[in-house]
Amino acid sequence: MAAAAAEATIDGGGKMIILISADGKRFEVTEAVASQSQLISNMIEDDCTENGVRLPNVDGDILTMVVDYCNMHAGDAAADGDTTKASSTEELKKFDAELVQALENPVLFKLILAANFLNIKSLLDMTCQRVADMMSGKTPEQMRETFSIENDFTPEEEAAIRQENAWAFDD
Amino acid sequence: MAPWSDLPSDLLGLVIARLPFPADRARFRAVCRAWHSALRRHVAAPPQLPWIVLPEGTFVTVSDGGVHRMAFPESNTVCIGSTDGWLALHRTDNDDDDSVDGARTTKTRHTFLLHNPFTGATVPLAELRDILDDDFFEEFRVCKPRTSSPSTSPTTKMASPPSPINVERIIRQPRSPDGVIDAFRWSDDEDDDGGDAQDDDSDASTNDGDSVDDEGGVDADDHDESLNQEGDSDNDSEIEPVGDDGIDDVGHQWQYLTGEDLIWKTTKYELEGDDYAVNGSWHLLESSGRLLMVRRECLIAAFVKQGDHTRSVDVSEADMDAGTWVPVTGGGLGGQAIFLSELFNKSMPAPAYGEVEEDTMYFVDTPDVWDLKSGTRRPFTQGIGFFDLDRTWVFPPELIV
Repeated sequence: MAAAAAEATIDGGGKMIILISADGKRFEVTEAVASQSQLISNMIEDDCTENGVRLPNVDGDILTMVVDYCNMHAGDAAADGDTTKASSTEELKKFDAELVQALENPVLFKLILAANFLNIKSLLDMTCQRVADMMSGKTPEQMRETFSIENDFTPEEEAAIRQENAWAFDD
Repeated sequence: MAPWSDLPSDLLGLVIARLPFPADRARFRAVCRAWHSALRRHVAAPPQLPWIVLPEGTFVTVSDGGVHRMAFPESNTVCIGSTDGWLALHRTDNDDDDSVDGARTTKTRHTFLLHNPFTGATVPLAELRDILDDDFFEEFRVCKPRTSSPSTSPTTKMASPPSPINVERIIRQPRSPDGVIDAFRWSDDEDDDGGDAQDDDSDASTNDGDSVDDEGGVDADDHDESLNQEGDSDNDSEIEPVGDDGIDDVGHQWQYLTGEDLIWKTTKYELEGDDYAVNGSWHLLESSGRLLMVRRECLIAAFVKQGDHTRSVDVSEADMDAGTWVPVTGGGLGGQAIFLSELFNKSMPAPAYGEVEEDTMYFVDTPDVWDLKSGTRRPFTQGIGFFDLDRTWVFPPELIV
């Protein structure tokens, strides 16, 4: 624990790791940044990151966002309780708020899948919350429009489903 | 175009967990087949467990331990009570009074409203503003606005256990078409799932637990009362029509005298040893047409994580004909589950397919659930911390999944 912390402060996260996106883009990040992904953290423990980590179901543009996010949040875990990081907490909040606000289809969808695949809990929480916020207060029709979903119910089925919780529908 | 309907079900589950309101969930399941089945997979069949509401608006969805924020319709507002899906809210505003030269004083304005977070409906209780002023709050605390069934007698009463000065305070006011009484009656109508034949919400009460006052029926009630205290009695804050005879018999039942002083008690609280205390509470409630009295002791070990817990529970049923309390043995809640708090108690059916366990009692303050058949307990949520009497239950509308 103490050794790991010392290493992190000396060279900013120890060893570098190469992440390779589905379309072949390469990202060089520190272990500390990459370990926020539970998937990669496990791979580091198992010593199988030597030749770079191939992420066949994450596109380069999505991985860019993920790496940005992890870079911003790398201080989080390492600097737990470190009061000198107080200002960066504010920055982080701002960064997260802006990131999440900018998320639209289809990037949001891909980012959720990436956060889930890479197992980055905080990013998964944030993106799922964004989806929930986009649904809250909307009618089924508005949700379909927001998320480009086709209504695959028959009219009879849909009427029956709405009738079951009729109190939730204005009509 | 993103195939959102193809989002894996477990990820949809994470979204559903962040969409706690039943109305949103009802609409979610009407979007497409995939979302419909995802919701069925992630949300239990009704009856669903209620929510716990903390005074400042945080709520815990007991089903999944989720902690969420509830936006109250107004600022500077705290939740002081609940009935089914309704919350009683108390708003305080400080008004600077410059009317006297050189002597600026601050007056606190108190506003009360009923709010249903599930429908968004809000009923201002404007009449209370003039009655419950600063002077009132110097000596009193409103801790339990009570609802009552329709009554021919248009009078409300609000009394509360004052401290340290023990004085009864009664507020009476005429019924108005859109006023307090109608608002409360409205909420009570929803409440009425068991004792629907009875419409007289009289408080049955007891001295030493050996007699019951039957004033024409059984209805939901939620008094907390100290355990085992000779002649101890209680009158929590109430808004309640007085009976046809116009005599405040309820109030008389719950107050008692020691020496010269009128004493009001809600709970017993005793230190046992150096590091823990015991809290005793007494609850009356209607369950499947029966009037139950629940006496319960919980141990408060504030310095031990998860240390607070229910220590003992006993349940009695009122025998109206004999005028006595009969102990309920053998776990006989008749398949009901009971949710208890200082502010609101409710009994609900617990069918085998739901997430609500039958013959159990959920205590919001500890928080743990007591299995009456086995006489054992377990915590039912990790989402909230230590013993706290100010939490209450609120019951979302049932969601068919």
